[in-house]
Amino acid sequence: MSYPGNQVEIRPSTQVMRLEHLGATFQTRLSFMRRLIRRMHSDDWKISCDEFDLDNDGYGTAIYAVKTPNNIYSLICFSHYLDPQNRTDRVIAEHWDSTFTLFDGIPTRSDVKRLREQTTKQEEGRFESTDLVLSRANKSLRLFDHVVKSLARNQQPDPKILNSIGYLMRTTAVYANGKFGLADRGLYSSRPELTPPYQIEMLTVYLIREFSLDLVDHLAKCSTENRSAKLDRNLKRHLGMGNATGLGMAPFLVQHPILIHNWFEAKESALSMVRSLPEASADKIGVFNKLLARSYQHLSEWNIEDKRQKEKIQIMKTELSLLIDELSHNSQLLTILYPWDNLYKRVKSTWSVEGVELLVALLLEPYPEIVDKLGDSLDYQDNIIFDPKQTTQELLRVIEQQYMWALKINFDQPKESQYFWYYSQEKNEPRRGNRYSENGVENEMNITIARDIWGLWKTLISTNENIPLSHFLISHPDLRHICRRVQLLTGYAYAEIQDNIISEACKPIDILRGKLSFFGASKFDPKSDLWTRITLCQGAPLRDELSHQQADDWCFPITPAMP
Amino acid sequence: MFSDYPGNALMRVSLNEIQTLIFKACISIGLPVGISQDASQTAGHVFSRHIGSIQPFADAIFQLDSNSSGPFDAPDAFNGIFRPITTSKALSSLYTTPTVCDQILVRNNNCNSHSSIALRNLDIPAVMIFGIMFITRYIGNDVCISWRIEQNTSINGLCSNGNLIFNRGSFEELYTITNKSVSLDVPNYNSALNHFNTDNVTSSETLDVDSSTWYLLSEYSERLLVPSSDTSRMTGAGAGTVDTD
Repeated sequence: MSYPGNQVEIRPSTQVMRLEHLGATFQTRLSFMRRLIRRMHSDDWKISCDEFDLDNDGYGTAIYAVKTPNNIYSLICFSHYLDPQNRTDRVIAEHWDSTFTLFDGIPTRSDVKRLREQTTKQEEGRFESTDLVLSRANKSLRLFDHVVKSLARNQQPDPKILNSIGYLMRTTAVYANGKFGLADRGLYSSRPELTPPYQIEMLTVYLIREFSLDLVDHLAKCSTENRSAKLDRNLKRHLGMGNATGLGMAPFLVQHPILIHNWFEAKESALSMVRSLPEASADKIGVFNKLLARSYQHLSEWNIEDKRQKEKIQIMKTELSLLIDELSHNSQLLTILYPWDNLYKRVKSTWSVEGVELLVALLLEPYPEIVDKLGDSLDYQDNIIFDPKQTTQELLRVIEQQYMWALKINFDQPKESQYFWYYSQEKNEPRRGNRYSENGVENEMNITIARDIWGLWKTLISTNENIPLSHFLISHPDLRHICRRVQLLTGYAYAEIQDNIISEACKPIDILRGKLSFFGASKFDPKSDLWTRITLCQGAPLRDELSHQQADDWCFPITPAMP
Repeated sequence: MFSDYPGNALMRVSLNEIQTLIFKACISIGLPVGISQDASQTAGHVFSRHIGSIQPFADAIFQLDSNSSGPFDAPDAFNGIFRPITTSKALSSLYTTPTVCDQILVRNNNCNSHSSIALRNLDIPAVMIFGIMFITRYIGNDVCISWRIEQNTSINGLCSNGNLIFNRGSFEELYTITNKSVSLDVPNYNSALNHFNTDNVTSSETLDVDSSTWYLLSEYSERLLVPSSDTSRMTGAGAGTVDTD
């Protein structure tokens, strides 16, 4: 059977790369944690706890080994007493409940001894090329204590309390790629399991989750001399890893533009391909309907304090509810030609931005055969050189084609330069300050893309010459970085956040969400415009469930029904 | 010079740390962002091939910061002659290398002739030669850029396909040379710039640097750090957090 052509164009970067849009995104099949779990399943990874030397208070050392077809990785966990006075999720913390290193291979006793000394110091430690990831985590005291006490009484914890938090521990930093002497990504990026972005970090988070689940069983057992219950498997699966994320993540998106382009282009290509399908089989419709219902329940269980996000969740619930209702009364809705495109168009003009993005995530789910292979192109390593033969007029044309969003901003208005980003003396972490009332603006970080484009464009217009950049830059060395950026990003439509990130209107949390969604984060719990808590791998299979047929069916997790 | 500082213990660092440190140290002394990026890329290239040392970069940063070196005179640069603006200063290799590399890259015009680039009183020639070595990996086609350090030295060699070959002299000698004139012989060539295959570049597992030089460069990069204030503490990410939940 032939169909009229309906190749849906991919959504333009002028829509997708706006902050409002980034701040509304959800995890998809392409997200890095999803991809990791799929590989664990398809390559039959084996994860074992090879050492669990913890005392009755839960302090000591544990080691988890991950056997992949070609490599072995080990998470070395150090669990410590944490003085309540030192408990903080902020990056400036110097003490934590647990600290971790992901080791390349099987550590010797002397490796463990060395890492005990270095890992517990975190940013103050020094690491070797065998050390891949450094991390730390704190307990969620509310839930952790509740779970241990319940199990100690031979009872299961209250699923509602468990769902309201969603994790036993939350990481406050996950470092890799050469930080503090850790292995450079170039050392391991050619290994197939680690070629896609952030796989080594996601593996670490997954293993820390396993440790946190074993830790509560251990503590309950220790407190009642073996009369305790073990945490129910379904409840365990509903516990992910928490994470507290602040501004440290935001400059990354600006500093790795082609990588970001690859991520967003892959997602948009996937959506376009699904929307271009002329029909949907009953199986695919079944998957969609199942996930639609599950995502509604997921929204109902997404309980947070942030008023603005709460309102958005409520709106999405209404939108999904109407769609579920409509689909139940009109079975033709998804059996017409180009059902997914029609559905997308139907909701696009009436739903909230976040509701539409939730639908996008759902549309991709039934089609692993289309979507998953696009994940192969997500990585990128910088290997292009600046071409000084390009002329100023050629560069000007690229700016006017690709950077109109920046040229529309009026940087003569002080509010458009309200903020500056800098590295703080405390832990060398990115921060944001008010340009007009705080010190440090002379050390502003180089992520002011819109303003720099605006400045370059004005200079090019005013010089009104057509000369090679090699000549132009002799007189304008301060514009070298932005000339290079424009040239290198020509044709990479999704490379730039198309908003002014130093503007009064910028909410950094939108940048964070754009990146965290690609990690696979859910249950965003904004604590201000500057930082958020999230949950990773909630619903994901446990380490002894990775071979199950349904190992990839865990997005939009919901509280398990307990007998 | 940094080499005068005591202590020569080696410490292991990652390639990422080297590139980040060189970039930040360059920014901290006021070099433009694009030029700092070039220095960082070059450092990454030479270290990933086990042929580099951070000493020349540290020396070049020190020269600029101490006002012993400075930018080039722009009008002469258009003609391939790079000299310091004032005779009281040497020519900064960090500042000049990107422009020299640009001039090499624009000679890609298929004319069958050679041309020369002259650098007068260059502060740290090793930095310039590293920069040229870096860009030749993109030129490909075995194009050779010959270089010669003048004024009572006999060190000379060529850069090609991302490599550095000495006709006379050695790395050790090259590192000790300061404030000399350098001449480059650049063939015209005709080839598209390569997007080289990163699979051929092996990152090193062990990159050892002199710890005293490392810590001094770190001091430069730390100039970029902004101390906390009451305002930043009250409004920063994580402020007001309840950590016991």
